[in-house]
Amino acid sequence: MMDDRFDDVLKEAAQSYNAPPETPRDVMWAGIEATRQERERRRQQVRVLYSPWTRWGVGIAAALAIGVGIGRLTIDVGGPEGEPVAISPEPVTSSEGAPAATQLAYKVAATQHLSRAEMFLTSFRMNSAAGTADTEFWTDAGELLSSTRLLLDSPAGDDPVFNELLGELELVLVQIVQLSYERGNETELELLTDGIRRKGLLPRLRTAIPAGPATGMVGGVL
Amino acid sequence: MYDAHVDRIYRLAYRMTGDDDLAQEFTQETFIRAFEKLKQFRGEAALSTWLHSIATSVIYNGMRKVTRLKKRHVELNETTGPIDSPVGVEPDLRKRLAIAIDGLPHGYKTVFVMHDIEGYKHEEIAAALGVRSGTSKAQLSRARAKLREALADYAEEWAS
Repeated sequence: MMDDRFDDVLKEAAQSYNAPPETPRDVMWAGIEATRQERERRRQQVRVLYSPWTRWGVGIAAALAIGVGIGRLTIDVGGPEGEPVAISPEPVTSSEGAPAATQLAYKVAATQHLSRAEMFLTSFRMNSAAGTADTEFWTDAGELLSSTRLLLDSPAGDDPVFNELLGELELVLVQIVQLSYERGNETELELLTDGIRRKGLLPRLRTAIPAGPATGMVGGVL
Repeated sequence: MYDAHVDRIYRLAYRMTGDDDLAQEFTQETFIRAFEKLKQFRGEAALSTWLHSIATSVIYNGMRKVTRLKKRHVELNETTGPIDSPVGVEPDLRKRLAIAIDGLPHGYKTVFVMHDIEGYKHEEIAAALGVRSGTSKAQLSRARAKLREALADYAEEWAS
């Protein structure tokens, strides 16, 4: 009985226990909305992050990264500090920069050409003196002129000796080709043969041509 | 739903925590969870009961965290200097009762607050806590006994 009455006293006194103020409805509602929006935004990010497309993308990127990593590790095994696995010799170049092998090929071709020119000029002197030069002869002159110009523009023309010789040969061949249109002009023919002689073109050509069958050495180079 | 039930939820949260910030936080969390789970509500219980079951769960879990933090805070204070115990120096019944209620186990305190202070029926309390109505009554009885025990000297004084 006494306990019941005391309980009533306690119950009455307990009403003041943590007495709440007026409910802040609006403040809490604003907080609820803000929190729900924030959580929804995070969920969207998570959905995107764990979507099948993202997972595939991440998987592919990871595979690529692993592949690149393995590749780099494999290369590093060859030597420290990125030392190349194989060292190729530096190509031997001339002072002008063209590879030596190419330069040599052009020189051989030029020698072959000079050999033909020497034969042509020798026969020219004989044919012109005998007046037996035919159409094929003059055609050969035109072809030699074209080849001379090509060689002058080629790496072979970089060699000072060949350049000077080819230049004078071109000049002579131009005169010969012109003479082909003025057949019978003895004065021009004399001036031409005299020029060849004075320049010592034939001896110089022979000097430039090494002994032996040069034509056989370079078949197919040009 | 919010307008109809926010007052009761907030009052319960405030009574249980004694802190406006915590009460607001727990009330908001209760409604946020309710909105998220609203599709799962089958209407087998009253909406109020369902909301209160969420609220009591949120408050219980929230208070566990708060209690841990307070305990740590007290331990830190004890290292800096002794504090006077409020017990025995507080002659006022209301203040001693408040201290005694705070000292109740969480289950007893919840039932006492809900029934004796906020006026919930045992059926409502039982539904919210997921226990039987008899359990709610038994816990209320034990809670009162604990409070009488804590305030025994005052009870003798009051009886005389």
